[in-house]
Amino acid sequence: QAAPLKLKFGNDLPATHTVNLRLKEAIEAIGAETKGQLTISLFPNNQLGSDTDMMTQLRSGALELATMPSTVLSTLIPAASLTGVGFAFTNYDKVWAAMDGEVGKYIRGSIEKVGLVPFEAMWDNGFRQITSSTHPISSPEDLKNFKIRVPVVPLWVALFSAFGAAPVSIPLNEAYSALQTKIADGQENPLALIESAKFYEVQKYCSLTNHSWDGFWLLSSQRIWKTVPKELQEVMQKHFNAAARKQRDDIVQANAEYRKNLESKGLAFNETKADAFQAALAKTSFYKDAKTKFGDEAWTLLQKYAGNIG
Amino acid sequence: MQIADEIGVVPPRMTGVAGALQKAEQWLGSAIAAAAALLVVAEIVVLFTGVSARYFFQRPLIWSDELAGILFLWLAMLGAVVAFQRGEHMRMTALVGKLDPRKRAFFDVLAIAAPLAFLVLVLEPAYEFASDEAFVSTPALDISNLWRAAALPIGLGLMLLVALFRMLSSGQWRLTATAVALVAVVGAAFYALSPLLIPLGNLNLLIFFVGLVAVMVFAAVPIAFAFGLATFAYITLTTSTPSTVVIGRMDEGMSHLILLSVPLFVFLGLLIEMTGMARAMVAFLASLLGHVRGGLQYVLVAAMYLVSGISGAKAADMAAVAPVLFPEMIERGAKPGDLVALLSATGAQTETIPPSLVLITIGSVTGVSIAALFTGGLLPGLVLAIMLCFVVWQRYRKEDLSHVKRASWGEVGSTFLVALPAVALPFVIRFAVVGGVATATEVSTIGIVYAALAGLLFYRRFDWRRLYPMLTETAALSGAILLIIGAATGMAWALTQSGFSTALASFMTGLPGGAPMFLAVTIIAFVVLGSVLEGIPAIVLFGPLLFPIAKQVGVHEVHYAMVVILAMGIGLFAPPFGVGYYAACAISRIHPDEGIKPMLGYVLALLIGTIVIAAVPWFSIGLLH
Ligand code: NA
Ligand code: NA
Repeated sequence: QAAPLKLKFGNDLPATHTVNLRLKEAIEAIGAETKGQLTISLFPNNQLGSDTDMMTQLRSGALELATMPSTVLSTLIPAASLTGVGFAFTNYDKVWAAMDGEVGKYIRGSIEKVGLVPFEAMWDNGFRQITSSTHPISSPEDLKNFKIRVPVVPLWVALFSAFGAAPVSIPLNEAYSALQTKIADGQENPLALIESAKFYEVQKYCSLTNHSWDGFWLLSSQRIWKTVPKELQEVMQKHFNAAARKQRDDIVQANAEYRKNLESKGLAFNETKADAFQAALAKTSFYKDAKTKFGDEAWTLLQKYAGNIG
Repeated sequence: MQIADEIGVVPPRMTGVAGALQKAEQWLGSAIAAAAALLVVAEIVVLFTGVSARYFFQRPLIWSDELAGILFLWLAMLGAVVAFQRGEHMRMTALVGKLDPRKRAFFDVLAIAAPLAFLVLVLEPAYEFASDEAFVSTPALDISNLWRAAALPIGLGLMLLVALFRMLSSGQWRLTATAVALVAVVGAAFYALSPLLIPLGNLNLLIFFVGLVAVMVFAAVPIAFAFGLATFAYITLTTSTPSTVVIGRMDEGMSHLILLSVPLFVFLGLLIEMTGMARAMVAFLASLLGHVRGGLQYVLVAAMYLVSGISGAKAADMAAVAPVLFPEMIERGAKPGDLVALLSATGAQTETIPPSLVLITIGSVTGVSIAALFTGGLLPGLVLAIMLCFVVWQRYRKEDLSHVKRASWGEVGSTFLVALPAVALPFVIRFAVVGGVATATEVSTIGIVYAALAGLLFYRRFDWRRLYPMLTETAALSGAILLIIGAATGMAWALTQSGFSTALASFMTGLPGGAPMFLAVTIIAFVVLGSVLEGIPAIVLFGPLLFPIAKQVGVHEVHYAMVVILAMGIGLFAPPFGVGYYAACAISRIHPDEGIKPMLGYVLALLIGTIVIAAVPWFSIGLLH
């Protein structure tokens, strides 16, 4: 009998995030089914490094498993950010049809080319929403000259610039202070992060813009993966893919709770109409530029699920 | 700054081959120093442009941070090369200093031979790491990440070159051969023993990160290289992890943009001194407090308390205070060792004062309100300040001030007027941060522009010839500090991936004795963890594991956070392993050996203070509603 295989699993999410809760379950199930032949240790909260660095660790084989947001992955694989095109997916039905369908397949193909192994089912990070300390964002005009802290993801910088906003680049761990001192008027993130980073303590409004959707790919290192026995690979695939599908439902439920919780802590919520934003965006060169960037093949696939966005 | 050279070993002038090598080394050194100086200027320009575009023109530049980050890694690496050439990487010579000069000379050569081994070992992984990064593009500028990552192999390669030059040009052939042989034999022995080490599992953590690190630190191997060698040895000999991870972690450790405020505050400090602002400010404080025993020491404690509310990064706080106060304090007879010890102690003392990055980190990994932590941290910082001031009073109460005349109120007034633009500087900086003009990283550039203008227009003192040495000094200093932080980050990773944290947490859960016992063990554990894990990693790793337990035994989370932070701070700022202590030494240009003895009293005061905070929850939660 071979020595038990030990793998490290890292990510940048709080230990209590739905992703990590489901991962813990899956890891236990894998341990039980393989009778201790495979033990996986989960390192949440950036413990093994930032997403960017974990991506490097994965490629070199220093880290065996990780969940990686598309946005970070896109610095290595441009196609990965296809899912984050502003106001492309307007609901979860479209998202999962695309990601479990041809868009997902197309992106997985690109991921495999760079020494990484993607698991089939993608995990949910959630639609992104805007918080603000000055005014609620209810129409595209509200974004004019709005100083918004955005992760430096070219697609999102372009999105907010197209609306005439002023995107500001500030590291996430300094965002709280920057919002408190009003260096930025607002920021945008999924509700789970707005809650865990405590932005509600320094913001007044939360506008449900759903302006972009992002998910996590569960990745393994090719250097490691090819040394893992086939039957263990299959056990991992079975449990991780199943866990991802459960986590998608978790997020939908959790979002309702996050909203209730954030409201009780003083954030004023407002809903917005995606059509108005999409139409305003279509008047700019945003979609045209994105199409040039991703190429015709990818764009056609995206439109198949997202509809004719321009 | 007269103490600087003690740290470096200035080789005698050589002739023949050694002389030619010495010339080549000097030439290489000045070329690198010039590039590093240019990078400091570039950083100031880029960040100030970024602030101006965002605040004054309402058009933020999305790429300014990224460009600053790329330049910063180059600055850190080239600065580390300059520091290496000048022999300015921090080392602990408390033990070897007691040896006779001939034996001591051996350890001075060893301090080059051990880094040389590290550099030889990591050069290939560094090259591999950088070539892998070529495929990643930077988000804002959309250029290959090789532009950034290349700084690592090039910086390490240049350091290797400098190390070789320094060894060969020393002329001490026998010492050099012995030192190299010793390093090679120890390395080979570890390599040969590795089949026996692997089955030991987490015991290796003790062998490498306690045993090996301690031996190297006390043998006066520069701290950064001691950490680096231990980490590299652990990773390659006891795990199957590729060694490129050491480089990757160094990269990330050195790349936190907030650390950029360290060189900029250092430069600001030099600028304040050069323009005469420091003198004016200290003259005013001296006229006000000069007749009080330990007066300027109290000013130091108060200044750290105030400044600490600005940047959130401790090394930056120290860089903002020490260069202004120290030269004058030393001139007035204060012992350098006592000053650096007090500075390091205030570093630990002010960890809880908002907007500390440690507080923000605790808030985001444990779910405690950051606003509550910001409020809760004010009094514990004050309690510890009082403890430190008590030690200052104890130490200086017999100070002979018979030669000091108490200044009249008229003198106080006139020195105040002269000092006004200088005294206003901290307020300008504070306003810029609180008023949302600049981030903590950027605000130093506002200070630099302000100080330059005040020097040129008000004090009419601006010695252009000193500018270049000031820039290279800034670069070397930053390189020395950042290399330690980078190496410590690698060490923290190696500890983290071993999974030892879960074992420790379950041990702490099983303890009898309720809250008092739990708090006592927390203090001991975090003093140790803060020392070996370099602060924030300790929080990230243990926060989520221990905060729920604290709740279970009935300790308020904010209260627990304060105890954890203060204990961690003591570990971080106490010699011989605390990274913060070496940062304090580097910033104040005082040799680490000098501060160790005076540090004992301050550490004791901090420890008693921490116990008081642990015993009296009111200090942490009394201000919360
Ligand atoms: Na602080
Ligand atoms: Na340390």
